[in-house]
Amino acid sequence: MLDGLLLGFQTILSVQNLLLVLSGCAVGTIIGMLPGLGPISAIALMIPITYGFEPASGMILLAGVYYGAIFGGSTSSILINAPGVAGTVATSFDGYPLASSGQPGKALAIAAYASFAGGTIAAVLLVLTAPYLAKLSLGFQSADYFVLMLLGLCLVSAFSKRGEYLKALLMTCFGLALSTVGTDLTSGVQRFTLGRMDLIDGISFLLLAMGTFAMAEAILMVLRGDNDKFQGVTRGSMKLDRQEVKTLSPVVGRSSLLGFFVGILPGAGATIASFLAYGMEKYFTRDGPQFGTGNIKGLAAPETANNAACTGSFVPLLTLGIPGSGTTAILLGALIAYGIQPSPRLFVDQPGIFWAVIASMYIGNLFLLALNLPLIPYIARILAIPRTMLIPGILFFSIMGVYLVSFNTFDILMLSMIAFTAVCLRLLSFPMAPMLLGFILGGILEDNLRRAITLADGQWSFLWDRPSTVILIILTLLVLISPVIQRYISK
Amino acid sequence: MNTYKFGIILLICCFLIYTHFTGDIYLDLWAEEEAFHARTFPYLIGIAGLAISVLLFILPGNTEHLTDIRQLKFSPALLLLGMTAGYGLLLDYLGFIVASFLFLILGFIILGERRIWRMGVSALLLVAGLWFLLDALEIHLSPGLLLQEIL
Repeated sequence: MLDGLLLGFQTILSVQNLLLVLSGCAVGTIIGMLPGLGPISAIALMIPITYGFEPASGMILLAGVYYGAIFGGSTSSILINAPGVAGTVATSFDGYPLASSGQPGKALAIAAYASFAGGTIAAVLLVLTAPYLAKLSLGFQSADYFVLMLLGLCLVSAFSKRGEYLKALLMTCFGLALSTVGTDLTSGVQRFTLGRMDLIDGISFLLLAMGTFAMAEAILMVLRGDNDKFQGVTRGSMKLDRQEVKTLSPVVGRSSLLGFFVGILPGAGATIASFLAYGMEKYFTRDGPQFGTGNIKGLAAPETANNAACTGSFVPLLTLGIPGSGTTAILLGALIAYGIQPSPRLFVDQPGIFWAVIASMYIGNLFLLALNLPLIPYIARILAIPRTMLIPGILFFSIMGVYLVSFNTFDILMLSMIAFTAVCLRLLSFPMAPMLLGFILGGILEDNLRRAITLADGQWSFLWDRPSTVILIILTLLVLISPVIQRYISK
Repeated sequence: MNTYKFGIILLICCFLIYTHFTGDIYLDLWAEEEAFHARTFPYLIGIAGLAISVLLFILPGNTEHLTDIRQLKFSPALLLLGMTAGYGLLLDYLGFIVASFLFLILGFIILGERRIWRMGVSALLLVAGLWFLLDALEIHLSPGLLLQEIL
């Protein structure tokens, strides 16, 4: 393990990679601060830039963008009560009252320190647990993988908002259906290409990500007439006294653990982790009733947990090749685009990438702290750009992101169609993350199902042949019926 | 019928069409005998999608938190989407610089920006900046058929 970590640090401690972590954190922070644009959009915008890099360098940059965007989302949450990312909604509950009571500097400083502590503790936990999880998962066969992916897809739906479970499942099917467009690589047969050459290679995941997130988000802002202009912010005092540090230390420890383990669960992610941490502190500490009025514990808990969850979500991605959230699904897509097949073998076959990403988390958290403490007031000025100028800019960069990969104008037409569909679906409250997850996992899911059926001589008995598969099937069924049970209990 | 149910009917139609076209996927003679072929996975998805969308249609959905579509500003949003499609259609003809500059200026105007200098300078800086960045990365974008014809 120590050798691996040293290898990781050796990779990352080059001037190029250090600059990539730094730029990833800076870009992620800026994009994360823009309300409506979260880590998914930030990573999607950055992927075309990373195509020229080595896979390890590309992943280091994208990982930096990821935790930078989560942290950036907290800034707009705290300062203007406009969470840029769903994972920072809970941060605004106490962060915004604290900032509006004349202590914006303190609120930002607590967020920065809590994010740093959460990210660093979770990175240590990742180093300790990931190799064991990877070894455990090496015994997995195609049948286990198929069911495990089904479990991941069902978990994402089960953890969706209340009342959106069936919608999330339907969106997963929609994503899976889109993944079948193009040439079936095993048989060489074209499927749903409508006779168009442009669709032979299928739909690009970047096109889908840009259309459903960055572009759809910009169009939704216009639809809702959300043309507020933000005012510049001042820093104020950023110092914490000894008593405050003493009060926050146990909160940070508890929330880091909770955030990391929630982050590991496919489908849970930073949003659920931050709400759980906030709820845990609110209900289990003495000053719970003061939460919501600018309590520093109420700010530190969700902020620590969301960063710890981001790091935790890398565990299923790096050890099992299964993304735990929409954001890690995009990272999975990026890995595939670099020509790397994420699987439990990644840890063994590509130790350079595996450990470099982990090492980048330590360095990235340090950079985030160094960047954000002094620069927050200046970076936040981007919020003052009027939406009339910002939205066409977002659209332009979305189009360029797609066009520069294929140089095919048909992709731009597809982008506008996908964005239109995504806007309609989002207005009807259909979640987009399960669709993207379904789309990315579709190909791997079909491959594993095909292999499992072939190995079982065309029988579906592979589903109950091995104890591990049976356990996973039971878990999947439990997850599938869990919303029904929850509803029954709450009645 | 409300917008929500209408939307679900459209999704049911999508999955019906998808399942129907699954039957059109070409199969070799021997492939039809196999337990798993190119149609199997799409069939499974199509049936699952149909079942879930029908369930969504039958079950009472919570429509209270849905956006009231009467309060939405459709014209600028649709214009921006149309402009994106138009950019795709005209990019090869007008070339990157002209098409992108026009796209940004029209986008600013649609959203209500009226300060000409601000619009012009922002659009020019963005387009020229990206052009030079791509040029430095050895990515050369076409100047467009129009410019080639003129020159």
